[in-house]
Amino acid sequence: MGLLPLGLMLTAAAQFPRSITEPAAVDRGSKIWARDCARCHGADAKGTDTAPDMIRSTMVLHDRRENLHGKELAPFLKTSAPHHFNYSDKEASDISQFLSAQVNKILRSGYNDKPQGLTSGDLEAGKAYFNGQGGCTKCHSVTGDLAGVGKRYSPATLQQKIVFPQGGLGKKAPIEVTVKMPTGKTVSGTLVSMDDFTATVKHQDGSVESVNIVAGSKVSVKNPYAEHEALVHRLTDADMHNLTSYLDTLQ
Amino acid sequence: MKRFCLTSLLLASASLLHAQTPAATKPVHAAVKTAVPSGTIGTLDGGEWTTYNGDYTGRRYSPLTKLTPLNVKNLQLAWTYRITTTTGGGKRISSTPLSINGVLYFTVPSHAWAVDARTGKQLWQFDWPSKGGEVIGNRGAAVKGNTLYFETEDDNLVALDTKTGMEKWHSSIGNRDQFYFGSVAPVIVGNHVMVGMSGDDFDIPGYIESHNADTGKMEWRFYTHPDPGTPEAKTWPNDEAMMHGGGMTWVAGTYDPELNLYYFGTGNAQPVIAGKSRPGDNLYTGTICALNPDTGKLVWYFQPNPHDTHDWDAVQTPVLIDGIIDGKPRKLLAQASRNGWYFLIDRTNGKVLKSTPWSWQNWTSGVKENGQPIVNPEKTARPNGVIVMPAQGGAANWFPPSYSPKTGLFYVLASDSASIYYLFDDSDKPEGWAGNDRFGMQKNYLRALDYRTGKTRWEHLWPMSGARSGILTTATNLLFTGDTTSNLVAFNAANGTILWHAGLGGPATNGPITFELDGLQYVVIAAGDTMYSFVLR
Repeated sequence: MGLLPLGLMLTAAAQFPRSITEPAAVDRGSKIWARDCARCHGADAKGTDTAPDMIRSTMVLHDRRENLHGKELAPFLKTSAPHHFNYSDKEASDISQFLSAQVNKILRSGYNDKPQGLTSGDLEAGKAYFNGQGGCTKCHSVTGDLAGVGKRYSPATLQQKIVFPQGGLGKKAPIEVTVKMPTGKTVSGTLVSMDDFTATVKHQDGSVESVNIVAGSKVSVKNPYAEHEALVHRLTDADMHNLTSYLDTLQ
Repeated sequence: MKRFCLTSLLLASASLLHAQTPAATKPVHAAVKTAVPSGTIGTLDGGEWTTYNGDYTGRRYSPLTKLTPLNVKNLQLAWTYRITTTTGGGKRISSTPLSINGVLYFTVPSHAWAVDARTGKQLWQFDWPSKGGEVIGNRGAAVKGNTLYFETEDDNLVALDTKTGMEKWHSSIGNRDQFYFGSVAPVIVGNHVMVGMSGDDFDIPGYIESHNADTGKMEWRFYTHPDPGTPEAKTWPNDEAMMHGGGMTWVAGTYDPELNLYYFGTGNAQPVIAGKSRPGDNLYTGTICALNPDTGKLVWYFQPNPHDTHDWDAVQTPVLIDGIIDGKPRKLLAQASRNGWYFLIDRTNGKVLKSTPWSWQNWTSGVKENGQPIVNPEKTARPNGVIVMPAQGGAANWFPPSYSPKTGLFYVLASDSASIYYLFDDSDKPEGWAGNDRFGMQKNYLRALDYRTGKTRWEHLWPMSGARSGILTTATNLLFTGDTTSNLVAFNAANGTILWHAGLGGPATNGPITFELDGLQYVVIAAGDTMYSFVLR
């Protein structure tokens, strides 16, 4: 039996809830940073040859974690060479907010980040793979189910749907399950959940039915994603990039 | 009883069962009635469960024999205990409880409980006033004498009186500002409390440290990077990268009292997905370390996961096996690693005897003479995506495996998986994560590996992929684990036949344990906010 998809893969939840920053304050802080600090510490605060990385500064991290809004940074920046900046509380708070936002940016997320260059593959090679070795035309047609698919989905979603149509968000094809009990009774429908002991299916009218998988029961599963699950072992990264590029042209 | 065949199982036959010479110096576990002091740490004596893995070996194999494949069907619910307090992170018990002198001790982030193991009635609850931290989970407590130790997410080691639940002392174990947090179950070795450390959202060095069990005073700290200027430091481009290179110690280690070595694995290198600023193998990240617990000095190391760029830590329990190789008794250590490779190592010196894939993997181009997989650079994250196996969640993760000397099989919950890795920062100075994987697929199995070869002897494919939990085996060839939905399932450990199951309120969230009280054998497992206790009457 093929794999039954899990709605979402083990998506790593962002660890450490981000310290909340206020966009307007971050923006004001970024201007002060650009004017007074970037020359030595870098525009992104990651340091240069002349001054250290502020994202890794224990003082900055302490300010962020304790929501100090620059209360400790300000006196330090006033008295420690080579700084001697006389910031108001508001300015210090804005710088603190900018730095916190810079720290937040590098933490686990990936979800404000975008994959790049997804359509930089070879269109013709993608088309040839689709029509040939990929075996895609067994189930799909660029004038049928895939007409306009490039308009319907972003390249990132297209790529996901090529490789892992059973994962991620959005509508999934139904998985048909049939349990034939030794008594001859048969329960079938669209999979809701299943383990070694029970199966729960949904019927067309929306009703849900469960059945015990007793000894002698026969379970059959029609997995609409079986072809894609086999494909993942054959598909090269180049094939994936070429296919994504090709399907993106189906506007 | 196998209800239907989901996959062609290679069923083990009784002939596979080979008697194993028990460790030369340690007698086979005595009968439960032996008068041993309760809480003899690191042993299963007296039918107890005294440390995270039951005993020091990490095998999670119990000598108890009341429960057998024939009577396991009579296992019945003894009690349930539901927690109602937690500190964020959901009310999820991922702690392995300890069972000492009729009391179960377990934790969630910032809270600890003592519960009567016979009745499930609460004896005490301890609430730590947390200053905040990552509450992904808390793996459990350690107990020595009348003191219980556990880590908090705001980086304290807290010692409680086991009788009252009152605090005795607490001791700092890390800096919250730098995203360190506590989640690991401490392990008592002699008078040391071994403390692992968590946190990989930020480029900080990992470490493990020892605290005096009486006073809480820190005795030593071992950073999981080499000392600058040593040959191992050459596996980093510079000290700056090395000092911010990760290598967290997420999972409780194992211990060989004869060799006086403490074994543990280390986490992924940092920045996590982007390896550009840290060319080299990046020791001691993704490494199995053998440490002298008295000095904190490294005795040997082996790195299963050189130059990691996939968030695959090598922290999975290093299980100690006393086996026979080429007719000679050998002290071994086995790990089914998150990166999809299985390693069998001589635990006296770190020499690898077997190194082989045990799950889907496509990131290697071969294996070095010393047993290290060779990284294929084609399978590191790119801005437009790369298909990688296993997915970030790993072939294995923190969930405790088990080894049965009765069957000679190493049991692990396998996730055969794939996903697409994307690089989000391809500058020369990436920091933090700088990328991630997305989407994916997985097939979940209970897999039984021949410990000598790493080859699958039998496996059970779960009908749906989903949750993973821990594994327990016993001397009567029983295996207990949680399935992917919401059942505690008992298998025949020799051949993978399902013998019994019980529905829980949700997926199992920890490793099951077994213990004996008044001649009755119990099995306890947690699912979400509830601890379920089963007993054979």
